[in-house]
Amino acid sequence: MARTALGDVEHFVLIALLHLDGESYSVPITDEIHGRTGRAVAKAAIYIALRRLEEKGLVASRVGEATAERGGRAKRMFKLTPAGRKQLREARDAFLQMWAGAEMAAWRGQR
Amino acid sequence: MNRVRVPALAQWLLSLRLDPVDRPMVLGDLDEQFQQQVQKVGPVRARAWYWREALHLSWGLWWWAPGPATSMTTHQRWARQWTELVDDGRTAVRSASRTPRFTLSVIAIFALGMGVNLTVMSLIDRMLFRPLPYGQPSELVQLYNRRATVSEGQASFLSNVVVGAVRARANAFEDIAVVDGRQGPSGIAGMSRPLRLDLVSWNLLKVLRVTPIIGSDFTQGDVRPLENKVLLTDEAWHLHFNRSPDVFNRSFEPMLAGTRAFRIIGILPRGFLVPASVFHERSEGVMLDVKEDLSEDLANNLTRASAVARLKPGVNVDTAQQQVDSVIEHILPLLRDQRDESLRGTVKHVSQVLRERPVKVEALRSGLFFAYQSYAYLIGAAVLAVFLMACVNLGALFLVRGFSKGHEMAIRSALGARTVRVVRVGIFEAVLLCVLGTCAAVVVCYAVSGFVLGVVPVGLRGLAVSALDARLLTLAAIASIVAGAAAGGWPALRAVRANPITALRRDNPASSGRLRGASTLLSIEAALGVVLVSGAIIATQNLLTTVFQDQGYSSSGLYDLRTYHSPSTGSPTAADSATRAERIAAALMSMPEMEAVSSWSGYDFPIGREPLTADIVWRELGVSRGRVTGVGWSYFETLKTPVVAGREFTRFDITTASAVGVLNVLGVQSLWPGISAGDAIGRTVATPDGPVTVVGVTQNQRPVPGGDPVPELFVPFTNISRAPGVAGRDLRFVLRMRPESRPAPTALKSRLDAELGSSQRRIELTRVADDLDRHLQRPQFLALLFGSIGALALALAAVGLYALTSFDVSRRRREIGLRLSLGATPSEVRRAMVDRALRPVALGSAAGLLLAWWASSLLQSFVSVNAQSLPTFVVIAVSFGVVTWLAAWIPARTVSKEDPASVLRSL
Repeated sequence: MARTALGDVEHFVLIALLHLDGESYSVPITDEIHGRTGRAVAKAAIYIALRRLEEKGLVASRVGEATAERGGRAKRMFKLTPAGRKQLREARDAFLQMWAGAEMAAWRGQR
Repeated sequence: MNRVRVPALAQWLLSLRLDPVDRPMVLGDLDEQFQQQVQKVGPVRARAWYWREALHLSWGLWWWAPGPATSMTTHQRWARQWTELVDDGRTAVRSASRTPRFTLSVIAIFALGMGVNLTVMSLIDRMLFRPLPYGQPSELVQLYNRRATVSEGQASFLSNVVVGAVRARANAFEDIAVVDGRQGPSGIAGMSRPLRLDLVSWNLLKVLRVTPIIGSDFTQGDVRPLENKVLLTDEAWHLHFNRSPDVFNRSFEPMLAGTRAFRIIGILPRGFLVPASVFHERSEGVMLDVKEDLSEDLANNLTRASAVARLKPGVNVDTAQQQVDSVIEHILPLLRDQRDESLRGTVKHVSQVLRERPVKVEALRSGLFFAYQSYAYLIGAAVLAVFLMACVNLGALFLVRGFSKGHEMAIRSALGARTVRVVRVGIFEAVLLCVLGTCAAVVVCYAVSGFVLGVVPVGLRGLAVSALDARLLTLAAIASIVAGAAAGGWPALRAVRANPITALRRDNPASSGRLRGASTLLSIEAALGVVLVSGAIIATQNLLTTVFQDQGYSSSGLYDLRTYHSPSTGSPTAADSATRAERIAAALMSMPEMEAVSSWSGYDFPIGREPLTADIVWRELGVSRGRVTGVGWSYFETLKTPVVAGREFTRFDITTASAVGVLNVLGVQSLWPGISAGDAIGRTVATPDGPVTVVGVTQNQRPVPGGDPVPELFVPFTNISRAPGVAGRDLRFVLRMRPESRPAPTALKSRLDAELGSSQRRIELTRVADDLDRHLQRPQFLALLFGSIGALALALAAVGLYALTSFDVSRRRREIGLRLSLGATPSEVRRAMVDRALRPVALGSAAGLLLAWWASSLLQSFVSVNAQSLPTFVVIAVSFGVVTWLAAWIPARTVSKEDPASVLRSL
């Protein structure tokens, strides 16, 4: 599944969309990632991730409404597709399975 | 709450990288987040954040391209970029080939601008930019105390005694070498012509830190050898000896019997330049000056030498100058104490020259090229301005083209072409045409190099050989790419920035509206044109004045004859000289083609160097510049110089060496200001050897073409104590031949031998017009050059102004049609169009006039010309106005004559 494997930022973007009720645009997504992980991800990385996800069919986009705080410019809204949700679930399961029994080992040296 | 504006430049740069569909959304996201950042961290840090994000995005989007990117390796991304580049290149080529007239115009304009630059830069490159071909050239200086512009170009002089003294006493220099300005007797038997070899001291190459590529350098022990030792340049070795190794260590018989044989001891590196004080044809090597031992020996004094010295590390020119000054102060008393009677003349001469003209130390580059450097800067600036004009024209052409192609670009953008690719095609097309123009320029430059070298003055010719090197070609390539990118990128960028929907609408006002940017280009074009054309006209006018000005005598059919004969016992008396001169003159006059003959004595007449120090006679009369010339009877008649008052010398004056003199008009004005020429007759001029009675006043003669006349006193040449030169033994004559006849030196010699017996050793015959031509070579060349630059600038400016204005007016047919249908008369419409077109040109011309006025005052400090000529400036500005008026009036007239309804229907 190398072609559909998720990169770090892609993973974060998909989860952020989950937190944002499945549909949002790049500004709240960036804020969500920063708020939860403390990572200030560059805008370029977010756009590239969103485009790749769109090409993989994991998100879909549409042109949204314009607002005054954006200088009257429109938004591009991104929505999680069923394939995206499925991919996230699979990724989470894979991570949890990998972590099972390894938590203690990971923190052993710290204590 | 006030919104803080995002950094406009960052936004603009980013927008270039975004495709039109994504652009508003991405910029909106950034704008929104920027406002949040302003609240959080303040406007300054928010701006920094915006810049960072914009740059990140620009960079990230460059690497990321739509499509199955996740699986792409870096190599694949590069391959994709490359494919896109090649595609864009193909599109550019197709676009250029679809409009052959436009393509050829751009190539021709750029080739003109670049060709002039390459040709001229190759001539002045060595003088201004290229490092001198010596080791550590920045440490090299020239020492001189006299300088002059001579027929071949220029000359610097330093008395040999001073070289010896400075070499022995000043410790600022590692060593000092001498290059005599003359090219020595260097005829090798069997060769078609003598080699052009400069006489140098044995240590020249050591001072220059140049090593022969084959063979060995001169050594101190070589001084006064039995044979002439020669180091040839690589070029001369190739040309004359086909690089044969047989030339070394063998003796070559001289052309002239009784002179020394030659021995070639080595080969100088390719591109070697003899740092000679006088420029001749390019030197073919150096020959050891057998008379030169770099000592302070007064008996060995030479005054034509020029000194090249290497400063010790850490010593600058000012320190060296101070040391030289103190050495001169030290040797002046020593010279005064010199008791040797035989050296009295030399001591007097050297002391006088040193007192009047301090020895100067100057960086070698400016020392070698002093006569040319100011012109070189001027010409360099002029051709760069021509290049700039070509670029402005290029910009205008591409602006018009971008305007015409707005529709096509809008379609490409609407179909999803990224901004970067649309702009890239525009840039590629312009760069392609500029590079083709440069190639054409290089080819033409090589093709015409022979012709150019034929018209440049001899001194410059040596410097210009094979000057079009890789460095200049690289610069040309860079210039063409930059010019193309600017000329093609700007209009393309403007076209894609336009809203595609507006651009695609049939009634797009832009398709018939005013060309934005055209006014700026028109103003720049007019300003540059006024400056360049008026500058070229003024320079050419001044130079042509020099070429055609009255010299004070007629050179047509005039010859200078020098006769050498074996001295009779003892010094010749005035009577001897007079008798001899009379016999020679009679022999010459008996030749049927001879019209007039007169004798004269002196060093620098009819044409010679500008007098550097006034003759002692004039100095004692309180006149700083002036000279004394010894002449024979009917001298002024022979030269066809009008005698304005009194008479010229009679045979009696000459044979008796009478104390009479003839002054020129300037001499009379200098001695007795305010009196007329006639009133000067009968007055006496006090000279160190007694009073001289003025018997005549003649018109002024110019000592050198272009030079100002100086006060001059003519005395009988037999009056040896007053007349300079070697009267008596070697006699000089001016001959006036009948039209269409040329004297044959052999016929002259046999005639003189028959008349005077075999005592006539040899004769030298020079055509005065040839001498004049040599002097006039430089002003003629410069006049040609500035004239060409002016004509080119005029043509470029006229074409640029006409093309842009007429295009602009014809684009506004819609406006004209509307005005006409609303009741405007055709003449009102034409006036409106002309007014609008003339405004930027008037503005540019006014700026050009101010600039030209300022530049002309600068010009006067560079070269001696009468530069500030207001009528010339105004005529040029008005002529540009006329061109613009025509360019606006002709299309406006055509459209205004049509039926308004049909004009509006046709849009």
